[in-house]
Amino acid sequence: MINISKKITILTILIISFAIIFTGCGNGQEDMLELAASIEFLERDDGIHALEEEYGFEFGDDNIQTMEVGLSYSSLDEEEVDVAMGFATDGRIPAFDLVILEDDKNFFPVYNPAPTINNEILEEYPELEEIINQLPPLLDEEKLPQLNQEVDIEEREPVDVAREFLEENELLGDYEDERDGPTIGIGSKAWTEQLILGNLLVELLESHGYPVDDRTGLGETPVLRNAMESGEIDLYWEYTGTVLMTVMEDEEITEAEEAYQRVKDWDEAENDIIWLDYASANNTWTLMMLEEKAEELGIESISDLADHINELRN
Amino acid sequence: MTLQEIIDTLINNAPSLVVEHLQLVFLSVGLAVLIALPLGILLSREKFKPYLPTIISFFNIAQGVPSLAVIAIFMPILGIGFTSAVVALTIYALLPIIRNTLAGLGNLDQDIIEAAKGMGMPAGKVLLKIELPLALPVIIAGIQTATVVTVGTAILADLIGAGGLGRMIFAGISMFEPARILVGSLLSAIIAISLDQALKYIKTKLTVQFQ
Amino acid sequence: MDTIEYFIDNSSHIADLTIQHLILIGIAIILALIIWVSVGVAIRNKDKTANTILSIGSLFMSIPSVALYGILVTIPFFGLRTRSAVFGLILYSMIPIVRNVYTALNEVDPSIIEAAKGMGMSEKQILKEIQLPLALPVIFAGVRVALVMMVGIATLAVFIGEQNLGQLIQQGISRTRNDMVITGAIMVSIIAIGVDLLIGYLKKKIVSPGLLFNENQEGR
Repeated sequence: MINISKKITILTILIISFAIIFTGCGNGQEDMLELAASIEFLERDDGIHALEEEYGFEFGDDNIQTMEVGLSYSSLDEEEVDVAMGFATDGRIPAFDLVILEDDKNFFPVYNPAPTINNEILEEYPELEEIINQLPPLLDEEKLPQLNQEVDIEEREPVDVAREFLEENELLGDYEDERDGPTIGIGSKAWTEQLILGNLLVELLESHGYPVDDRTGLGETPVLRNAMESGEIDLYWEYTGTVLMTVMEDEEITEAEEAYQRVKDWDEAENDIIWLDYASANNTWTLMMLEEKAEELGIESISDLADHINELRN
Repeated sequence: MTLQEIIDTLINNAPSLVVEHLQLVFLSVGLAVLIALPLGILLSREKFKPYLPTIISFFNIAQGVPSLAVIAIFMPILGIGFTSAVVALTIYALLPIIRNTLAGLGNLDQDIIEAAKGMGMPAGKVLLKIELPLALPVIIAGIQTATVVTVGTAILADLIGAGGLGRMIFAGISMFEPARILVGSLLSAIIAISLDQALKYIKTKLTVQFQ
Repeated sequence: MDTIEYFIDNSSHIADLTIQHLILIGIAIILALIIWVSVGVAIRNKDKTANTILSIGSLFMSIPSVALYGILVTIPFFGLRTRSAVFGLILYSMIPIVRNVYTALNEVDPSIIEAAKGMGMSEKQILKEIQLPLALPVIFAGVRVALVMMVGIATLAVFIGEQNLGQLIQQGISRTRNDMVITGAIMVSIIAIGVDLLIGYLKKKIVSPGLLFNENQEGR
């Protein structure tokens, strides 16, 4: 039979368990706005905290939830958070009725995508420069978001969207066999725009007969840079702003050409990585809110948000 | 990866994530026990005896479903976040507990039970005073399994935004920071082992011996 | 329903991913069997070593698989390549296989071994013709557990760049595509259950009925 002392042990353990469970619940002020941001953004020097400094407000650590960028759109939709970091060109913004808060103080630097390639592979296939450079001029501020929407809203697969785009622009080659030579590893990050861009390269090069290793969706920036260094991949689209801020840890630049030249020179000198031409689309970070909520609180820009939060604190 | 980085991660990021992880585990296993135990007891009763082989086969097959699949399935249904994760983890933890409850209650020495019934003990009392105490070691072993498995599966729960040590590990993977991966995994291993030992201790303390 | 539509529209892609998944597991289980059965056989008479080895194996089991992968990719030799995934799978299959081989070999009725020795059989012969065949049901059980586990763990290898069914789940979550997530979840479940039932069936076919009878008698 279970006697008294054992009953007490069990009871104690249950109490401790509940204590642990409930210490988690019910913290933070009511009404304070919650933010969802990716860990990368939270820790980058040009991330949330720099933003808060520029605009003169603070979310407060208790009110920030970290999560993968992909989840942040859902978290707004499900009202788990009030504000979230996302990418300006994501198709879920119109799909979930989200609004982008205006960056009225021009905090966010430019993020123009460009194909980056290992010099070694470029030397092996010098003609790649010309072939690949056909892409960037076609990917402007209107086109890239459009392609994103085809994946995010119309639920088409990135590879199909990429293929169709190449067909429309008559960029596909018709090389029957495969050329001899080293395989070209093509990587990309794991989200929609990157998947489309990556697949553009894969389909394009394959159609011209190059031996390609499709490693799209490999991971985030650090993983991809690492893979470039180790030779796992040789080619992927990177953003000027990203390398400028997180890899070079330089100062932000809001002018496209300037940012591009800076990273191009640096990467070639330091890492033997060549930046091909950049696209004019600017996939910058944004703060987003549910349209409904933003209207309710009268928030249109990040400054409005800052004012609102400062009011709540006082 | 330097020692400094490891210590930094430990001090800055670990505490709140460990608490979150424990919350996930305790809530899920707690709920699983509350559901599985009565269910297991019910299914072990006479009227279900003919169905038992089928029921056990079903559970054996269900055991094969990978943890990621269970967690992923709940995203479309319940959305992302802590609550959704708890539901998924609870369901995943039900299996070992039900299986062991059935096994524990099913493998008892029938003589003792017959004797008690013969003495006029009502069925409810037989269950409470004889069957359960005797089956307790096996049932707790099931809870042990469920707990250790949940500690590991709770890591995956961060994929649907639940937090916990999974956040540290996945952050480490996506940002290529070995320090985070190491600290996150070591802490979860320690938690799993500690909880396992704790339950083992409780099991020995609660094991009933009939002279 | 969306999910069915997704499945039909992308069936060839899904088939590719499934094949990749199976290839990964296939390579891993073959290597695992070669390595771990050998280990199990080698430690069959060395209890102390066996205990140490089994403890090490248990330790690996309590490390979350995602974490193990994460650590492996930081080691230059492994990196973001398939070898990391294969190695991880092999490590996790250690306990099911080694433990079962070791236990089964040691549970062979001593009198049978005595009789064999009496008949002049060498230790190697005894191992090959008596111990291993008798241990087969239990070893099969271990392989079954290892394989089902591998299906799940292989799914997680997508986080270090592997292309298999896990991609459907990971991308589905990231792109808020419920149809992908559900398709992925159902596919891996079907594979896991399929593998489980397949090995169960093979066991009945390959292992001598007399041994299975004994096994069932013991209730396990």
